[in-house]
Order: sequence, then structure tokens, then C-alpha cells
Amino acid sequence: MTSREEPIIVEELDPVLMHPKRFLIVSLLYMLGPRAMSFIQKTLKIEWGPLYTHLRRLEEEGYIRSRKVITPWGPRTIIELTDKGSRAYHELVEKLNKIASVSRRRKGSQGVERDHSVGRLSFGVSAHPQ
Amino acid sequence: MSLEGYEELARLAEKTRIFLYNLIGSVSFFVYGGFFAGYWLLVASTPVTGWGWIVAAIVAIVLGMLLGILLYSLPWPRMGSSGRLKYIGVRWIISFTLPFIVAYNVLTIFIPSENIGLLVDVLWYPSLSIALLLAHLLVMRPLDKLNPGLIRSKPFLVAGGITLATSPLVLYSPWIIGVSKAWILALGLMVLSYSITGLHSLYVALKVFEE
Repeated sequence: MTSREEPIIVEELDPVLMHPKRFLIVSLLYMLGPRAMSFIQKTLKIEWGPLYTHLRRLEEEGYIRSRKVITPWGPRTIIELTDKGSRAYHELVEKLNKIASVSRRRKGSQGVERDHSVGRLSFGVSAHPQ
Repeated sequence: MSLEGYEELARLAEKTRIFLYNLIGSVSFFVYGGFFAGYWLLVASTPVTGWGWIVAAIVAIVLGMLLGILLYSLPWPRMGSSGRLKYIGVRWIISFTLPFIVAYNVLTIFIPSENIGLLVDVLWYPSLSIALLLAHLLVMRPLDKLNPGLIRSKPFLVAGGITLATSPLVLYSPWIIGVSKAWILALGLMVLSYSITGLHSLYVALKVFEE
């Protein structure tokens, strides 16, 4: 990182998306597009209760929207990433990329051992899932 | 999950997304190439003449649309509402009907009558190349603007380019090898161009994981 570059503060990272399960849900929707709730549940192996909670949290934030559809296999709830959700995911990923590249450079120049506590190591704070 | 874990997962998600969308392009060209080659060979094996070919062409359009619906109904990745293109159905229909209508209704007026009998069986081939290029311009390019970097393989441009480049050969072939063989040559070149496009899309899709 050059001295002119803005340091990234880990606490700026979107707390809604920085929850592991919610990040997985949004990543899956980003990768595959709109999907049935049952598909998300089966793919990510999240219990129905926590899944509802995470989806509600994402919906409250305006990151996803849900709609009921009738399919030949019965009614399904389709979950879709909104524009806002897509933008938020992109912004988060950009920040994560910057952090990772800064972290890699620092580790390279300082000979710091690679571990999995990048946030704490480089920036003094870690993300707080809510 | 660590920050590195989030970053790696996001990178994998992005790559997988690009891979899957380009894989769809590859599979579609293999499926469409095989389907239409099989269909027209079946039609040609029957004693169909004159208007029968026009009926067969209309059936081919309907079957092509049904095949599209069938492929679409598979659990492929789908674009979210922001990534979807307006009037996409109309764009597809214009792309794959207009060149044929122009070729068989307008161009045939300008072709000397003694040559119509020779060209009518192969005129579909250059029309197909224009249709593929139109699909690239009307569907794929706008989709690419809505979803930058997603459809890297540009399958319609590749297939359209190959068929356009080989069109002079096909248009000239009835004088050299006769009408029936020229028609088979055109069909063979179509299957080959679709296969090359499918392989190219597959290669582009797999290359994503090497970046």
C-alpha cells in the first residue's frame, strides 16, 4: 500500500453481509441467480429456523426480495438478489480484495507467517457478525 | 470465517458464475447443432417437396422455440431482474426470422430466375450467419452491457463469423457439386461451426479457473 492510499477499516465492512451464513446465501444467489428457498436450504444445509432469520435480515436491509410462485411441483418461495444487494455484495468484495492484497503485500515484505486472522493482524480489528 | 475466507469464497463465486454462464453457451450450441442437424436430415429422408419444406421450416422455428423453453426450464443459473434484458423474446424472434424472411422473400426477387433453383436450398446458410450475428448484436451485446464480463465466449459472434466466412463456399457449391450435395455441405458446415463454437465456449469457461 502506498502512503496516499486510504487505509481500509475492517469495521466499515457491511455487518449484514459479513455474517458467514448470510454471505454464503448472497454468494449463492449471486452465482446462480434467483433460487427457491428450499434449494438454498438444501445446498447450504442451514436449518429452516436460522435460514428464515437470515433471509428476513437480508430482506429488511433490502438486499433480497422473495416472491411466491406456483410450480408443477407445488408452491415455492423464490429468493432473488436485489440491485441494492448486488451493489452491496460488489462493494464488500472490492473491499475484501483490497484488504487481502494489502495483507499479502505486508506479509510478503515483513515475512509475517500466513494465518487466518488477516483482519486482526493487519488492521487491529476484526469484522463483527451481527 | 476469516476475512481471507470471505475473499476467497467471493472470488470462487465470481469465477463459478462466469464458468456456468459460458458453459450454458457451450451446451446450447452443441444441443442446437445436433438437434437441427438431426431434424433436417429426418425431413430430407421423407418425400417432402415444395410447400412441404416451408411447413418443415415453420415446424423447425416452433421446435427451436420449444427447445429454448426446455433448456430455459432447466435449473441453470439465472440473471437477476437487473441483469435481464427488456423484450428479449422479441429480440430472439427478430434475430432468427428476419434474415430468413429477407433472404427468401426479398433477395430471391433480385436473383436471376435460372439461379433460384440452385440457390434456394443453400440460401438458409448465409441467412443463418446473419441471424447469429444479429443475435449477437441484439441480445448478447446488450446482455454483456448489463452483466459486464459475464459472457466472455461470445458464442453467437464466433458461430456467425464462421458461417459468414464459409458462406461464399456454400453459395458457390451448387454449381460445382450440385444442389443436393451443396445442401448437405451447408448442413455439415453448420454442425461443424456449432461444434467449434461449443468447444470454444467450453474452453473459455474452463479458463476462468486458471486466472
